Amino acid sequence: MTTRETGWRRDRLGLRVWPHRGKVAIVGWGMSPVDRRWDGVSMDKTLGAYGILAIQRCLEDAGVKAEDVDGLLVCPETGAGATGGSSADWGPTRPYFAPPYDSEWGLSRLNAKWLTQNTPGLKNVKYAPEQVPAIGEEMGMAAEAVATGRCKVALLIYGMNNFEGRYRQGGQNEDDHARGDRQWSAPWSTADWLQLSGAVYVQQYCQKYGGTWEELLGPIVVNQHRNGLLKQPSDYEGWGYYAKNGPSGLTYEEYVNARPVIWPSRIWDCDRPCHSVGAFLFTTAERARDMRQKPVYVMNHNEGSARAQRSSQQVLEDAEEGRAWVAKMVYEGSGWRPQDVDIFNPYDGYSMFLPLSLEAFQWHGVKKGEAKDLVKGDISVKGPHPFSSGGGNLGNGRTRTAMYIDSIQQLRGTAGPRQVRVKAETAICAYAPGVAASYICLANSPS
Amino acid sequence: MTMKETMAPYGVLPQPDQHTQPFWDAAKEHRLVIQRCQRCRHYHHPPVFLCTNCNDPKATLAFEGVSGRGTVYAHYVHHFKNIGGFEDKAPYPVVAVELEEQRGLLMVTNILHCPYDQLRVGMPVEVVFEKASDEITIPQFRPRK
Repeated sequence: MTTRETGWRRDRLGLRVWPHRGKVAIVGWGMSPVDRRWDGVSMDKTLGAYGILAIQRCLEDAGVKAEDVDGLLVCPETGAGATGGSSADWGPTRPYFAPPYDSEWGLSRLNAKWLTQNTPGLKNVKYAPEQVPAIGEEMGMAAEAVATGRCKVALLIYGMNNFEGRYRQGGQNEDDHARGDRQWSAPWSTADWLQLSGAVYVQQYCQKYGGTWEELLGPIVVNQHRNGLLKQPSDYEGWGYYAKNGPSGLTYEEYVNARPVIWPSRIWDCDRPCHSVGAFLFTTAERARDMRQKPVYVMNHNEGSARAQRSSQQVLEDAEEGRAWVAKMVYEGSGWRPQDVDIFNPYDGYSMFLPLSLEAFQWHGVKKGEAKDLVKGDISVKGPHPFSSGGGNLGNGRTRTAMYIDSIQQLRGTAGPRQVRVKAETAICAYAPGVAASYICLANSPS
Repeated sequence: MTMKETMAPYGVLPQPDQHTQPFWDAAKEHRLVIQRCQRCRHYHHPPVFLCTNCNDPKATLAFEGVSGRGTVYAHYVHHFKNIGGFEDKAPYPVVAVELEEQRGLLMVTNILHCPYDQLRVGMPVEVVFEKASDEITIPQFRPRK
C-alpha cells in the first residue's frame, strides 16, 4: 500500500461518540534517550538504534513479546529542519555505512520496513501502512486499526531527527523566489506563519483581554520546564532533553531576559528540536485486561485540519474559533464535558498555542480571556490546576511524545514526583499544530 | 534603538502568476491594488479564486486601487538569521498592517523609518514602494506623517 489511508479519520462535527469508545487500550510505552542530534559516529545512537530500543522498552513495559505484535505504524517524517514542502527530502549529503545504515533509513528516518528487518522478534507484522501521519493522527490511526480488527497488537513508533544546522534552515527558506501563497509573505521574510500568527494573536489577546506577553506566557513556559524535570529512575533517561542535559530549571526572570528569536517570542517560547524515538503499544481492551500494566483506555480520537482564515495570516478570532471547533468535536466524540477532564496535555510547539487551547477546551472552567488569570495562580502539579502536567515539548524538547507519556502515567498513577494531587481518571492529549485537531481522549476505566 | 530605512537589496523575489500579476504591475507603478469582489464589494488579500464572502461563483473579482493607509495590527522583530536572503538584515521588523478599507484586511510587510521600540499596535502607517528589480517593486509601510 502506497497511498495514505484516510477513511479512519474523525475530522468533523456530527460523528457522535466514537463507536469503539473504551474498547481499545494503550498497554505500554517506551522512550529512547533524548539527544540534541546524532553525532554521526555512534551507531548505538542512530534513530534506528533508538527506535529498536524504544520498542524493546515499550514491550517490556507491557509484558508483550515482539512476536505478538501484528501491527506496526511508523511515521516516516522525522525532520525538524527545513520548512515547507521540500523539507521531507532535505537532508545532508554524506557517505553511508554498511547495511543496515546504507541510506538515511535507520540514520535519520524510520519506516516499518527498516524496523521489522532490524528489531529482534518483530516478524509477525501483518499490518504496516506506509504513509503514516505525525503522532497526533498516528495515535488515532493506531486506535482505529485495533478497533476495526486490522491488527490485534499495534506498535506505534514516532521518531524526531534534528540535522546539524540552524532550525528551519534549508528547504523553501533558502529559495530566492516565492511562488503561490508565499509571494505574499516570503519577500518580507515571514519565516514561519505559525510564529507570525502567534505574534498576531497573542498581541491581539493582550490588547483585548489585558496583560502582557510575558505575564501570559512566562508562567506557562516556567511550568513546562518545571514539569519536564520531574522524573524518576524508572523513567529511563527521563524522556526529555532537559532532564538529561539541563538546564536545571528556568525562572521567570530567565524567561523574560532570554535571547529574542522573533521578538517578543524568546528562545524558550519555541520547542528545542531533538533526536529521539517513542513507542506506544495498543491492543483491545479485552486483551489488555491480562497484561502487565493497568490499561489506559482510548475513549475518542479526532483528526481535524486547519480551517480557512480571514486574511494573509491567522488572527485571534481565527485561532479562537478554530480551537473551539476542535474542542467541540473532541467533547462530542468522547461524550465528555469540560468538567470531566482531569489531565490536559495540549500541544506546545510554541508557547503561544497553550493559552488558547486551554480556553477552547474550557479546562477547569477557563473561558475566553481567562487563561491569563489561571496562570497567575498555581498551575504546578502539586496545585489544584495542574495544567500540562507532562511539561510538553517546551519542557522536554521536541519529542512530541511527552503529552502522551505523561497522560498514561498520570492515569496509571505512576507519574512519581509529577503525579498530580487532584483526581486523574481522564486525560486529553494532543499533537496539533495551529488549529489542526489531533487529539486523543484517555481514561483509566472503559466506561 | 534600531530601525530600517530600506529592506533592499531583496534576496527573495515574488514570482507573479496570471492571477496575481495585476498586484505586482500596480506596485511597479507605485500603486497599491487589492482584489475586490465586484458583486459584494469585499476585499481579499491574498487574492482568491472565488469570493469567500458572498460565495457567488459568478461574481467577478478585480483589483482596485486602495488608499495605502492602515494601522499596525501586529508586529514582531526577527532576530533569527535563518532565512535565506535576510541573514545580513537581522534584526528586522515584520508587521501585519490592517488596511483602512476593511476590518481584518491584512498585509504582511516590513516597516521602514520606525524605531523598533516605537512599534505599537494601532500605529497609523502608509505605503511606500521599494524597487527590488527591473520587474519587481515591493510595497512597504512607514509611520504615517
